[in-house]
Amino acid sequence: MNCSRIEPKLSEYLNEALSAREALDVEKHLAECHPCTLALTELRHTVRLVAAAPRFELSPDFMQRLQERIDAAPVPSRLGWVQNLRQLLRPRPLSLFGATAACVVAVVMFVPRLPMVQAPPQELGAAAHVAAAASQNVVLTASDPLEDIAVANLSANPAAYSEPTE
Amino acid sequence: MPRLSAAGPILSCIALSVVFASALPASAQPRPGTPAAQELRRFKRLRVPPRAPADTDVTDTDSRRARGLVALFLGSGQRQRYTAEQTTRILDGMVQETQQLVKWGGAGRQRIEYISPARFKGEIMLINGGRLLNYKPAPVHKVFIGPVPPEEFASRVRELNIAIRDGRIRVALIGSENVAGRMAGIVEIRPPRPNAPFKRLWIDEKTGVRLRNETISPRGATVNTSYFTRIDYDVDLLPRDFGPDSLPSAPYEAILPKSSPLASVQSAQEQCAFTIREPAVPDGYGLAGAWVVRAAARTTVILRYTDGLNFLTLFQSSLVRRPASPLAQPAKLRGGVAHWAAEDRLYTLIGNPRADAFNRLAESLK
Repeated sequence: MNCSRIEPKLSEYLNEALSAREALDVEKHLAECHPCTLALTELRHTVRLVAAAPRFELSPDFMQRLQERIDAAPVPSRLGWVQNLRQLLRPRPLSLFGATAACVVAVVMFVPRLPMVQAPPQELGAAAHVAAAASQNVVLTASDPLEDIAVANLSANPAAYSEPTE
Repeated sequence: MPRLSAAGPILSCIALSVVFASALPASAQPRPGTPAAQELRRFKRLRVPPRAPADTDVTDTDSRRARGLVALFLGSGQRQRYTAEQTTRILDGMVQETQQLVKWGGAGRQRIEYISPARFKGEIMLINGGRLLNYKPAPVHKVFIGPVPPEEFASRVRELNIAIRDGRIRVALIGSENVAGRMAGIVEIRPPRPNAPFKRLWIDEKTGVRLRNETISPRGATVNTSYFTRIDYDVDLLPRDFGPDSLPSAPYEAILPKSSPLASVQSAQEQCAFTIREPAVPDGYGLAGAWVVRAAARTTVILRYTDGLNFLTLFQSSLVRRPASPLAQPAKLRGGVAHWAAEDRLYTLIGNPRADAFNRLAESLK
């Protein structure tokens, strides 16, 4: 499976929205493709940035005021198809900002990517791994009347856990 | 030694069947027509052929009383409502302790709210509606959620009853003790093979509630325990005590798939990009289930083994980067948990195997 088929699936892969088979195909490709691995890392970073962005509370009458503005907006006059075509093909002066922005986009899209010095994906610390395993183990023990979920929950002590040394 | 009449085993099994059938609350009964309902009907019709008494038959009074107490615990003990204060300790190489407030609303409905120590304070575990919700306060501030299907619990109760009846799991009454103001019979429960961890339960002789439990190492040392310091049966528990709304508002994170466990490592391998390494488990252990879990773009394979009483659970995931050099220290089991890296794998083991069995297990994964 090549990059052009994998890259559109990276977002769904990150959201764990792919089927088991598709996720397996993506992971097999990522194991061999550094550019796609980098793309996934960037996507993950973007998701984190968006999640950390400030949230704004809407006022209670926001929707009502929005609807009023929509209702008050002038209805565009209906032109014949010839006038629509002329409108579409009318030359429009580009603003300096718009031209600059277009050039930047063109450079980013079409100039070959320089190799980026990127930190490799970070490993979770030992404490995080053990905590995740302990949480899963608590769920597994809850189905057994002879098991003790309070003991299972205490079994991992991230504060006291040491990293495996290399 | 007194001989047991042929009617004894038949009556015992009928009694166990009635106890088992009545142990499930209405909300936990499987829907008619489902495989779980068919399984339950088959068990209810299970007829145990009478066994001729033998000289070596386990028929002594203490064993009968132990079986009766365990049956009481697995039956009406699960339905008994109460609130309690509980202390939990892990004693293997270090001492860790927590205190919790426990509310038990019947089978499949529990609430455990941590009081101390400070790093656990505010944590809540809820079991309700076939799910476990584990709220972790700041800095984590999340609710971890996983499936605890009532039919899985019922299936395990059935397995235990059959294993005790067949003598594969041995139970014995070893004494009685007052726990939190209640008289409890102390039942020892041992797995089929010797030199394996075993359990002790202190069971309220009147209600069947488990007042204390211990896991004992093969050398006879207590490795973990939970016990009530106070219990109150005369309580009014409200449905909202067990509802998700009673938890602080926090993001939810699923930590186990809702699907049933996979029956083989091969089934798990079909869903996993890296090659699953199977450990060398102690004698008498078999695979109880396998799971493939994806979280944060990482795949973890869970292999759970059991000897009928004890469990060993191995979590493995592939390392993003191989360790630069071999580990400076071998894998070490502490407090029932070991965590280590080997080759391109990260492992976590949860369980209480003997030291030599654990070392063999870790070696087999290199």
